[in-house]
This record gives sequence, structure tokens and C-alpha cells, in this order.
Amino acid sequence: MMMSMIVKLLIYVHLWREGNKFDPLKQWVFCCKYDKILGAMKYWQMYKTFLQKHLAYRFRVGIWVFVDVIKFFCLPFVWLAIYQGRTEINGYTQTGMITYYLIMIFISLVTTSHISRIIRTDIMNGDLNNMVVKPMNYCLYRFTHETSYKLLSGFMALLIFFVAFYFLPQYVVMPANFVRLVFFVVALVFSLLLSFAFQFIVGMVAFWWGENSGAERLEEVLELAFSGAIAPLVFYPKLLQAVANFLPFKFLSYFPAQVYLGQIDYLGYWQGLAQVALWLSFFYVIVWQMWKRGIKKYEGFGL
Amino acid sequence: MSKYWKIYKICFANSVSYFTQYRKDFWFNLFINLLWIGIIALMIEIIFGQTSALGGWNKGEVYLLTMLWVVSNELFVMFFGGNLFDLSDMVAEGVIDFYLLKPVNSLFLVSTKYILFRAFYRLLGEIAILVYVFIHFNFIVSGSNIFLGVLLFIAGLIAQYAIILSLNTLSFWHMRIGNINDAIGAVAVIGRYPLNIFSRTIKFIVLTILPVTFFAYVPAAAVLDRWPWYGIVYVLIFSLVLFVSAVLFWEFALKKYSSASS
Repeated sequence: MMMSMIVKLLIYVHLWREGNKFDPLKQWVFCCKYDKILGAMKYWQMYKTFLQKHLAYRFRVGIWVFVDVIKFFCLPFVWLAIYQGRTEINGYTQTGMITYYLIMIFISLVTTSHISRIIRTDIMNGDLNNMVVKPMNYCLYRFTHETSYKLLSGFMALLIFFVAFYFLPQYVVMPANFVRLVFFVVALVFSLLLSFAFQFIVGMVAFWWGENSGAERLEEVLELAFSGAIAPLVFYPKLLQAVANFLPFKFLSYFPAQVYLGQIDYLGYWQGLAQVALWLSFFYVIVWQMWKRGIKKYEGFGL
Repeated sequence: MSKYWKIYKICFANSVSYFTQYRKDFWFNLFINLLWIGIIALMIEIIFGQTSALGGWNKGEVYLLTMLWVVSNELFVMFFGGNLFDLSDMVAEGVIDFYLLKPVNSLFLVSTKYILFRAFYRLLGEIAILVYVFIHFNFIVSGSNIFLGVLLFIAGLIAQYAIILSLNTLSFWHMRIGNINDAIGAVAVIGRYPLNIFSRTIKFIVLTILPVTFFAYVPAAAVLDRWPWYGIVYVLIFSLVLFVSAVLFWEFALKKYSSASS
């Protein structure tokens, strides 16, 4: 409502400044600008609608948050049992290691996308029909969906992190300085975009296979193995470390965790960002190509 | 009884028929399952690359515990996963009405209507790995310990059924809570690690309120002669209590159920 009034006000101001003279070229240019504003507005409206929907099913959202937390729950205990009396293993102090898993929980709640199942359902049930006939970008539509959920789970993540910091200060370290924190947030944004790209690609597999649970599980397994979710990559055997460093999965979790814990210098950080930016460009080209080909193949069952 | 056996055989035949129709990605899924077990093994290797014992358990014992956990999980998924995990959606969409109207025990039908045949081949592979672990690490265990282990493993499956049924029965009150199965799946991972690494509060929870240690930890401990006799009695009785409570809770929920369909 508020946004709509602002747009109307802009039109009046514009017409007043133009003296209400009819100029087709200027009118056209103005309409384009107006369309862009309206375009941005519709995604904002969607964002709010999705947020309301998530809040309506808050019990379900709460369970998902619980799952994301509990899946990392055992590992700090495992490492506490291993450390007993040792101050440092492979460059990780006991506190650093526990914080590492807290960051894994944080990343899981803030950036890990789970959109592939929804995309598969859209394709398999024919729900995509409703979306492709509307003047909107499906990828942005689902991105809006995902980020609206992430706003809620992100809030929970912050709460969990601060509760852990308050009650267990001996196990939690904060970033060394404000710049580190900003770098970490930037790394998280890249992690979110990368995770979303993976999930979008896996979801679109349903255009060809109908069912994508195999692809979904493969992505899940690769991510689990090479993102650093089970343990920091420095603990892996050398060969697996080399494979993990070659693949893009480490940018989902390991890279942001390293940035947070200050285990990467500024040069390494910028190199990492450049690498993930390249991976992102590559995967979004794949997204675009798969969408173009997939939508041609799509038969729209469920009409 | 013979009526239920006949129904089960029909459900079994239907499941085989379904499996043969959708078998295209069978090998792919089997391969991914092996990768998943590989990741669990990687985690164990990482742990034992830094220590010789975890909570008093050596590497071979942790492998045995892990594989028992995997087999227990797979058995449950094969026989009940395709059924109980769908309960929330069935209630939300009113599909459950079709089962309630049939002249048989609704819980039997809801629990056994579909056998996930795809899991059967995964299970064979996992049992083979379990046997390999047993041979590779030279476990010497007595026949009575094996017997107790098997008995407790069955009790663990009953407890698993009871917990998952009870949690899914909540969907009669809370709509769309199918993801509660993901939650219990995540909690069940606690039972994959030696209990001694956890704090006393967590030990208490996973032995009483949410006894996920019954699924694999207790049977593995019994096989390795690490579980006392009174613990065995407790697990057997408590599993039975859980089962009876879950069935009573189901019946109570049915009385409160108002159909979602037309």
C-alpha cells in the first residue's frame, strides 16, 4: 500500500515537472522506469506474502530450525572427547573447533537452500503452469520464497548464537574485528547464492527425469563430504583435501567459517571471493540454459 | 490373523509391482547410498586419526555401532518409512479416511500398506558391510551376547516404531508436520556415537524421553558385553511400554479426528 502510494506520488511529480506535455519518447522512457519500480514491488509483495505463509506454519518452520541445529549437535561432543588435555589440533583450538560447528549451524540456517523439492513439485504437479503465464521471473520468485524463509531462520540462528555465547562463553569466539565480520557476511551472501544455484539446478532435473530424488541425494552427499560440514577440511586425508579444494562446495561452509575464525589472510580472502564469483557465473549460466531447454520440454501436466 | 496375512501379502505384491515400474534410478540410488556410508566411514577415520578411543570405544567398536545403526535405520525405512512418514500428509489431505473406512485395523493398514522395496537391496549391502566389519576387526563374542544383541535390536525397532508413530499421530492436531520425521532422524544420530561422550542430561534424555539409543547403541553395547543385565530388562520393558502407549495414543487421536476431506 505504502509503496503503491509512493509510486503514484512519483508519477504526479513527474507529470508536474514535465508540465503535462505529451512527448511519446519521454513517456515511453518513463513507463519503462515505472515498470521497473512495479517489477521490484511485486517481488517485495511476494516476499511479504511468503513471510506470512511461513509464519502461519511456524510449527513446521520451528521443526526445520531444530533439524538444522540438531544435525551438528553430536560433533562438538565428539571433538570435546578427542581434545581432552590437548590445546590445539591442526591449527584448531578446542574453542575454535566448537565455534566452527556453531558457524556450521549458523550457515545451515542462514544460507543453505532447500528449494529443489519445491521446484520438483512445481514441475511434476504442473503448478509451474500458474507461474510461467504470469509476468514474473520464476527463479526470482523462488529466490524470494527462499530468502523470506531465511529471514526467519536467520533470526533464530542469531538467537542461538548469542545464547551459546552468553551461556558457554568458554566455547565461543567472536570475529577478531569488525572487518572480519563484514567479510564473513559477504562470504555468507556468496554461500547463499551458490547453495540456491545448486538447488535450482537439482530441482530442474525434474524437467527431464520427472523424479529428482537421486540428483537431490547426490548433491546432498557431495555437499556433506566436501563443504566441511562434518569436519574442517584440514583433517581430511590429503587426496580428499585436494579434491575438496578443487570443487566449489567448500564455499558453502568451510570458506565462510575460515573467514570468521581468521584462518585465512586478506589475499586468500579476495582469491576465494574471486573463485566463488567465477563458480557462481558458471552455475547461473547452467541455470539459465537448463531453464531455457527445460521449459521447452515441459508438458504442463496437472492443468 | 489369516486375513491380515493375506492383506500383507497383497501390499507386498503391490510394493514389488511399484518397484519394478520405477526402477530406472535404482543403481544410481544404490551408488549414492554407498557414498553416504563412505562419508560416515570418513568421519570415523577422521576421529580415529586424532585419538585411539572415543568414549572408551575403539575404532572397530565404533564401526560396529555405526553399521548396526545404519541397518536398523534401513530396516525401519523399508517396512514402515513409506507409511508412517506420510501420515501427516494423509491427515492433512483427508486421504486417511479411505483407510479408516476399511473393515480392518486402521493402524495395521496405515503401517504396512507399502514396503519400500528399493531399501531391500541397500539393506543387503549394509548387512554385508556389517559382516565385513565383524570379521575385519576380529570380534570375539559369545553366543549369548549375540542372542541378547538380536533381542535388543528387535526391541529397538519396536521402540523406533512407537516413537515415530506417536510423533506422527500429532498431525491429527498440528497440520503439515511431516518434517517431524526429519527431526527425529536428526536426533537419532545421537545413537550412532558412544554414549559416554555426552553429558549426563543428554544421556538421561536419550535413555528415557527420546530413547534413540535403543535403536543401535544398546544392541551394540550388549553384543560387546558393555550393557548390564538390569539395562537389558529396562530396555525390553520400556520398549513394550512405548509400543502400547503409541497404540493407545493413536486410538485416542482417531476419536478426536474430524475428517479433512468432503
